[in-house]
Amino acid sequence: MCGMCGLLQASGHWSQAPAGSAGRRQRLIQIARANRLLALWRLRLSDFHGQSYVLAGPTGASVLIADFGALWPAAEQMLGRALDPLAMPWQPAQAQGQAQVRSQGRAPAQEHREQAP
Amino acid sequence: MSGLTDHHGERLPVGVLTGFLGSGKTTLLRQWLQDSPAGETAVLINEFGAVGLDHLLVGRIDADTVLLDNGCVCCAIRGELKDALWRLHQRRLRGELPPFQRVLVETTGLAAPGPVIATLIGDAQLRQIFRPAFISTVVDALHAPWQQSRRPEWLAQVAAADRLYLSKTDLATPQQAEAQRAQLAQINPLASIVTCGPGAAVPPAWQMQESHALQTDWLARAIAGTPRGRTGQGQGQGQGLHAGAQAFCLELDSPVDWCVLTLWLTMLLHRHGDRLLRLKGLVAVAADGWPQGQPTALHGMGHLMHAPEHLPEWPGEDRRSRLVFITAGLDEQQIRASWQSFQSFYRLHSQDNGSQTPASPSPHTA
Repeated sequence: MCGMCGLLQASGHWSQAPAGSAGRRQRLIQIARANRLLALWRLRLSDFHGQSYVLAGPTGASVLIADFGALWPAAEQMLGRALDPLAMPWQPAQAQGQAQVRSQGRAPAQEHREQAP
Repeated sequence: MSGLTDHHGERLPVGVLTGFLGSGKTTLLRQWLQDSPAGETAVLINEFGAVGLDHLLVGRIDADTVLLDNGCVCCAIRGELKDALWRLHQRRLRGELPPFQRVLVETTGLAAPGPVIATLIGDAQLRQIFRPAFISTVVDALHAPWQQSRRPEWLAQVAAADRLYLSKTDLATPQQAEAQRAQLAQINPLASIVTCGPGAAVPPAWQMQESHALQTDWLARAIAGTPRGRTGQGQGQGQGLHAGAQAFCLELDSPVDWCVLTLWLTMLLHRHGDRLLRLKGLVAVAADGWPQGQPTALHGMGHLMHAPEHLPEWPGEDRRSRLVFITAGLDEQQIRASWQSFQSFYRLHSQDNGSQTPASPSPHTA
């Protein structure tokens, strides 16, 4: 346990077991991937001491969560509605359409790094 | 690999024996214990009702038995089970109990096995000492059709099993037994089915191969048993099959991005875990040094997932990623479409990475 903030050790959630690469790097990649999805609802996830996460909402509210298992309940509570993976706020056809538009209008390569928190 | 006889990191294996009321759990348990050396197996019996009748029946193993007196269906048993397991561990350490090598939990006939597994996986203390090893479910060949049409617990018990024991086959007609067997294979293609009766000697579950460890037979069985959305509804109509029980195999494009898979699965388990009876799969996860992806075994039940096992090598030639689902009221098409939409969402964004156009719409406008 961290004596300063009273945080327990990482929960050992199943989603945290990385394949191959080092844990820290994997963790940042995982957060970046989550943020792409969470941006659909204007939520943002960031790392907290390499052990927990902070989920921040569009109004500035934030909550500490232990693992990805706790992410969705916290996100739902923050938004006040259910998040259903079977009914996501994107349309597959639209997504494909956008992909085509983007591949046609490719800008010169510009390195876009995944934003680490 | 024999799951219950070896010790992974010194953690004691815990097996679960479940089955509907009167299906013959205790008979099977007694048979198993008679055949194994004394003091090797500690048994916990979770009884429903004021008097623990089963406790009296298995009196021979009294020294190792702790009776859970609040036998109940819901998660309330977790505390009791935790205490009972912890007491067992402490008494073993103090030398009051023989150094048993495994624990067997017999659940009440009205309980879904989820809470037992939840206790083992979820509790930070128990996790260090015990590990879930197998779930065996006894199915009454005679009364199963009635039970499955009326009791949702029956379905949860069958779907959770790594091995199904078909009991009372001597009382049922051969046709009934065969029909039941076929139906079980359809509901839970992951499990192997063993017939047990008065004449048949059934080896203890811990001597047979184990579920949790890497086995490829379940995968082969599951693939053979679930040709694209083979549902239980079609064949079982006349026999009152539980509505909506469905087993199907989802094939994923390999190698799979672990982050995307976990985001999708955590979300799916959170929102629809109550309808996801079982999830098991072997997935090629994209990883450094693995051109075709590292084989990773996933295993979940309801809202719970076991820790994934990253395997050192592929068990066979087949390198495809597959997830087998057993669901109640969740449609295969919905799940497939959901995974594909997640994939296309991330594929779209990975294209973005190299070519960010200034006018590209932000994700939340999609």
